[in-house]
Amino acid sequence: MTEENPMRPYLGTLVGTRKLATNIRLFQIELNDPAERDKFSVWKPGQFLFFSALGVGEAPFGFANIPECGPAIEVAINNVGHVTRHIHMLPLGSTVGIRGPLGNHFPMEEIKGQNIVVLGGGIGGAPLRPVIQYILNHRADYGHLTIFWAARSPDLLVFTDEYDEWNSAPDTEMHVTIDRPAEGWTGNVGLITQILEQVAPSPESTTTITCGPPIMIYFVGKTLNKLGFSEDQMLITLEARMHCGIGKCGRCNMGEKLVCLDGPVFRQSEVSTFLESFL
Amino acid sequence: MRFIDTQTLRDWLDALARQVTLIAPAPSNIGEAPGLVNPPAAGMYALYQPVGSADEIAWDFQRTAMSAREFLFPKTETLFTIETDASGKTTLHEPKVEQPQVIFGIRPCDARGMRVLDAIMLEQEPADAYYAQRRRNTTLVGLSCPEMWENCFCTSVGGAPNSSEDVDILLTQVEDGYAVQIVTEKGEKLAQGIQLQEVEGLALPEPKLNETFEMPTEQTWLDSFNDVYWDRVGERCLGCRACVYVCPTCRCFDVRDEKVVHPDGSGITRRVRSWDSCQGVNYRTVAGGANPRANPDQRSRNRFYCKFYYVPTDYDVPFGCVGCGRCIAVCPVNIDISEVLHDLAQRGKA
Repeated sequence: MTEENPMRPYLGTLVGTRKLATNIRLFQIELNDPAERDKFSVWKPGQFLFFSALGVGEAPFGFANIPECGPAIEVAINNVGHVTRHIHMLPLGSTVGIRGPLGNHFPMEEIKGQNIVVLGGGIGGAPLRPVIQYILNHRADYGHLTIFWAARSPDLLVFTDEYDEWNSAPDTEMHVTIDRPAEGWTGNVGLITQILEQVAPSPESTTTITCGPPIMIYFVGKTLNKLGFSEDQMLITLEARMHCGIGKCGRCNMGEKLVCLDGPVFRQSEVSTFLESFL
Repeated sequence: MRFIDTQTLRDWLDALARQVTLIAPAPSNIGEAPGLVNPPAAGMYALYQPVGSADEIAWDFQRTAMSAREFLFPKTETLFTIETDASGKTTLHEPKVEQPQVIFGIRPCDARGMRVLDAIMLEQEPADAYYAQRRRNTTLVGLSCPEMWENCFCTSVGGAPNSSEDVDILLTQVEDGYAVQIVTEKGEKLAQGIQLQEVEGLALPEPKLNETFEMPTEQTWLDSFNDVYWDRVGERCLGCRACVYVCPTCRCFDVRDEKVVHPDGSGITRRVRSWDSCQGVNYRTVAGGANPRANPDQRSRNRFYCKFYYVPTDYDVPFGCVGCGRCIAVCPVNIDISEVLHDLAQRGKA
């Protein structure tokens, strides 16, 4: 083809993988062609990519790191479907396909100087790790960072080996919670909304960034509202089934909006005006 | 007005078929299944197909069973192949689509459907590379409809049976031949090969029109999203998706991989995309099984909103529907898009 073909994946190699939680692994990919690697390494927190297990299929995933924390591209993948099952079985050194970076991103420039509240639920924490990495790398540019991290049970918490680093970063606090009591768990128990209400971060020049299952995003929005946050202060990132990521396949529409092109990052106030939303 | 007599046109098409891929309405056995209670009208037997000469063309066709969109956006196409040799080295190949094609006899509504596809596949960046290649190599020679047939409602959605708006050349049948309107530069280039006569005072026939109906307003669409009306439509729908497959503007697709591995470890992976439909139950189902559009009313509603609210909102086209009426003719449970529009327009006034 003579023109840019956004449906053509870059070929890459699976260079690393480690377990993050039950059924969730982190995958590290390096693109094979150095020119393509440079072209690709401009992704921003909140963007997504398509990961191909070649011969099986491709699926969209949020980036789990930023290029500065590279050089490998990292994605956290839950083994729940056809493509993800095969990705989990890929041996190191496998050739994989990567398309992207796709979608919009968190407005990291625009929210400079603000206090940031990050709320991640389950594997929804993965696309928020780039936000945390970015803030910690540019610590002076942002105010207080509060991280709320939740999962149904301790074995589903992702990036546990990084909590100490996040917790000990300057002007940063982290609250981890699980939904129900579990053996050996001495930390917080309860839904993310409960701990959010207890900690009650001030809405004063603060932006919240939420990712998790739709029902969590919905109730976190309600709780934030109760705490005095306006919907304009709430950033959320949504997911949908997709087959192209470039606004063609029609799959990810929520009313007149396409999650792939108009999102995946939205302000809660925008979503509230959509004719159709799945929150 | 320029004019071409029937024999000259046929000779030109015969010659053209030797130079380019010539697509034209040709007879098909679609619908000839024995025992049909309501066999489709005669014109419905034709399909746009590659033809080798003018003799193969169904000259008296009405509306073809399928639109011509598959010649810009095939039902199934290979996006790329990846070859792996026995040592494990991989090479990616992309298909080339460079053969010029002329779609002869395209109806104005089907050409208008391509205008909708252009807006989505080309003008909305990034462009779809496969569509772009085919589109660039395609010239449209339209044929005016002498009348609007049963279920046709192009005039209600801004089109006309003799519209030249979206074709490169438009032919209109007159006595002993065709009046020729050359519309675009592409058309001009193609017409260089035709011997045209200049006929003064050549009158174009007025097509017989169906009644034009009033469209629901934008406000009505906004107000009707949560209306119980969609439950009634959804209850009837079988989810067969026929409406979408015959539609000249639907563009949803699915992407799948196919793989062949040989005993020595070499092999080939092919990524293909195929037409898909938002009317399918699991269209939106994500891995893990959650389906945000699990109810029939949500899916039915999406088709109508896509055509009449989402596409007009997102792209520079009046509607995502061209009024060809195929989805009405093909629906096994008589869901009628023009009836839905009528019902909604009435509700808007209530």
